[in-house]
Amino acid sequence: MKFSYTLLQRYLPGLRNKKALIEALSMHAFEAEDSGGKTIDATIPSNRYADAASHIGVAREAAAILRLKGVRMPRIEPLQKTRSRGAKVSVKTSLCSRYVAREFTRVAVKQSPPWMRSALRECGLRPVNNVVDAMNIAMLETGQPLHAFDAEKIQGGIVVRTARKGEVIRTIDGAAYTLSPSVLVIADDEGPLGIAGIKGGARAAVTAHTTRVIVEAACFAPQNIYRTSKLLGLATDASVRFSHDLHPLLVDMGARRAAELLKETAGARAGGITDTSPCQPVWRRITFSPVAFKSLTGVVIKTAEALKDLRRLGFRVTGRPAQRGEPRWEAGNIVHVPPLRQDIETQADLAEEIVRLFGYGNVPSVSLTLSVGEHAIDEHFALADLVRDILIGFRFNEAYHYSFAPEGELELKNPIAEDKSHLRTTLRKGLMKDVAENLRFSDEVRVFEVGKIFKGGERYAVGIAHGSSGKETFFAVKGVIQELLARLGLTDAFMRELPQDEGVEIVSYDRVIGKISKSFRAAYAELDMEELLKVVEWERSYEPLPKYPAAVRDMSLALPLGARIGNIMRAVEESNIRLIEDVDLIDEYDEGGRESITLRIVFRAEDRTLSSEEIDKEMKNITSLLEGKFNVKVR
Amino acid sequence: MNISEIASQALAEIERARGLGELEAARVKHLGRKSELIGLLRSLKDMPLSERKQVSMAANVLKEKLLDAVKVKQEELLSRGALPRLDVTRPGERIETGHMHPLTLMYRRVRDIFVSMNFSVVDGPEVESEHYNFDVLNMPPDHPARDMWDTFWLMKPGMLLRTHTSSMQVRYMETHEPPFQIIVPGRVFRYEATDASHETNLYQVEGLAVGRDVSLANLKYTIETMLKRLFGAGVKFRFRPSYFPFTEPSIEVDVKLGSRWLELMGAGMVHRNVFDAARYNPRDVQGFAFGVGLDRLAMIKYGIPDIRLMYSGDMRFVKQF
Repeated sequence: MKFSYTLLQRYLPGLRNKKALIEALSMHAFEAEDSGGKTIDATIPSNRYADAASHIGVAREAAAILRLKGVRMPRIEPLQKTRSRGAKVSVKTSLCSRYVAREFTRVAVKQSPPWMRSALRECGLRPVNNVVDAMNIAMLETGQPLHAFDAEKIQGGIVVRTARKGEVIRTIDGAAYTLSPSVLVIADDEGPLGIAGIKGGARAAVTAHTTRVIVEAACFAPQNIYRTSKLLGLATDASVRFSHDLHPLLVDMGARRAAELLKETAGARAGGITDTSPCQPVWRRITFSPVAFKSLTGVVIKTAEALKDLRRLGFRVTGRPAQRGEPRWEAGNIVHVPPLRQDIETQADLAEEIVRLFGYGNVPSVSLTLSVGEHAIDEHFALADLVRDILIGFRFNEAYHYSFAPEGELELKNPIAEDKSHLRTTLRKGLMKDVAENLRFSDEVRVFEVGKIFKGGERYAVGIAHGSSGKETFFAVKGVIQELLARLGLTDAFMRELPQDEGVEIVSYDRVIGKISKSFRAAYAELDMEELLKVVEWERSYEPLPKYPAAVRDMSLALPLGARIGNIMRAVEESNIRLIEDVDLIDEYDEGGRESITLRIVFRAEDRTLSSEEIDKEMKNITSLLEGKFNVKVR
Repeated sequence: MNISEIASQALAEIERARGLGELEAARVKHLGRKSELIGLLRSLKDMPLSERKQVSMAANVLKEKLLDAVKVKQEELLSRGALPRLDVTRPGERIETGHMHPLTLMYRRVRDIFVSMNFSVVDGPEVESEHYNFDVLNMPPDHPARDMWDTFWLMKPGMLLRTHTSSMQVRYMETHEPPFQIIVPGRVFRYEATDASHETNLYQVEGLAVGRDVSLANLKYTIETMLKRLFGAGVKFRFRPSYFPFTEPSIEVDVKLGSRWLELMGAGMVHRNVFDAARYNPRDVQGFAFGVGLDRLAMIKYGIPDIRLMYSGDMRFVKQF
């Protein structure tokens, strides 16, 4: 929110310079920055719009922080006891908690004085005429949005009500809005005069010919204004303020400051006031317990100092300080909270006020001493880290991709782009894109991602892609998965061929934990981490080193068309699991148009050195098995 | 010379050889055609049968022994660098290994720091309810503070993509009793246009410590420790007042890098309404919470100028880490 340094200086003659003010606000109140010229941009916390989204509020903060003397706040007309009746107003909704209308006559519409025009410009507003400008200046000063109607153009009385379905309003800037019954309007007998709390209508706008105005100051339900503003896509200075729960007391302050300005700049004569629900300032009371303060902040500060800081911010203090031995939370002075400080409800809120004035730099640094036992790491993170460590060892590089995809099970209501309308159900798309794009720079691309997918719920997955501009990579990926699983201590896993060339699925303890598939210039594997976590062993275990030597025999086979090498090798392994330690594919070649392979078979017995007769017998057995079952020809 | 004299002399000379040349000379001298040992073997046929057998055996044993000694010595000399001279200025072989993403590296650093302070590491859902992301964090529906987080909403009513890892605060508290100290790393989402410093997907680490007397001073120590471990013991940082609906007091943490103060993270003391929402008695517990962006930390730490590189899948980027 923009603030005029010129205006602030008017109130705070002791202000040294803009930089000091910005520093003071930023370090002790809320973030402020220099927007160039005489403008300061401050981020008003959303719970402080009632007291601080105003030049008076910011000046109050600055004066307390910088301990400035001689503060001169803008003149606000004292409360009037007027007998004359004001404009006719009826509020027909609970969404407006207070509505003040006041009529001004003999208004001379003209240009505002220079100080007002420059203050408006510094706050990013455009000067219009002295009436409209007075409303805006009063708003900037007090934080209460105000509106002026040309009283001659109002038919009958003012009504605050919800819009009728299809009702149309033309706003001051010429735009037209079709309203729905959730929208609050200010209307007269003829129809809407303005969208309540957001923008005034064109029909009763103040013009150069206006002589009689009705000034409106009101308080609306913040949620309604917030929603309407979003609904209409119309955010104004007023709507932003009203969305933040302004205080009914501000209504009165704003109206009286506006009166002062109208009298001053337009020579207007103030008429009677209509106030639908006058309200009295209420000072909330909170006990200030030094023990609780120390416990929450760790800050050591004299109670008297702390209370002095609170007084600087406008708090009042009564009662006696806490006595030794009194309960932690109940004992201490009573702090009376200024009515506009809606954000101050608890001791923690008071603590914040004290510490920020005291300075966060003065908070000591003290180690935590919670007795929480040993720490634990979520198993997803632990497994993900292990997987990453293993995969980079296999020369895979890690990538992170968006969680969005063009299709999926969960759809976004407000996607950022058409092709990002759903949540991803696989990591495949991002990784395959990486393969394609990075093949431009290198002949081989190995990439993986660990991330959440949204498929039958939210789950972690590991995606592994290996692309090559020339080589078949399916078996490289298959090997990576086998070794990855082995290193995770998962010994009991096998791969099952899927129909229709879909690749293989990875199965362990009857659970499908992943899949490997093949596509153009790349192979891709995805592991389901939730399933993997159910079967992973984490541990590895020792097997006794062999005592007796192995015997290695090679066997060459000519295969029939469509033979499955994996099945053949498994059959060899299973022909005698006690004696066959390993079967490996060591050569593949084409012989007379027939695919041929060489298998290397490692024989070993646990309890003896195998004789060549025994091995010959096994080889013979395997030969007849393969020839019978797979129709191969053993050479 | 008798056999044992030949043996001791020959073995000594072989052992003494300082180069391949000297070794060769010793070999020729003791095993060559003109050597005493070979002469001895050649003269066997002139010996009486009884003597011949004995000498023959001893001489052959010695011959084997000397050949072995030469071989051993030769290997020793070779391994000592008596090889043809290496051009050691030639480049080393390129070792190819995979690379972890800077976000992973930064996550690990942050995690290790907090694990060293005995924080537990907790995971939470990315698809979250409005309830945990906003309501219980003291932001009821239509609260303008919600505008601080631009939100991706799901078609399913009341569901969204978490805008911060703070959504785990009440979730965790609902199932755990204090005291505890945890971090929650994870992906969060912001509905906003991307540029060099804004992304729709990003990573955060939430911290939450709750106990009887957890204080702002504890928060300061914890954050100070993290910053010192990340940026060095001399790091300059400051706390500034800030506003979050779910902390009171709320602070912003800046670090000074070079001559500039950089806004790094938000933090504060857990708001009593958050404890209320978790059905804790706010009179019995105090806690602090903080949230730090991993992308931002990684960008600062590694000098990455554009957050979009993180999600680009460009291997030329990842391979730098």
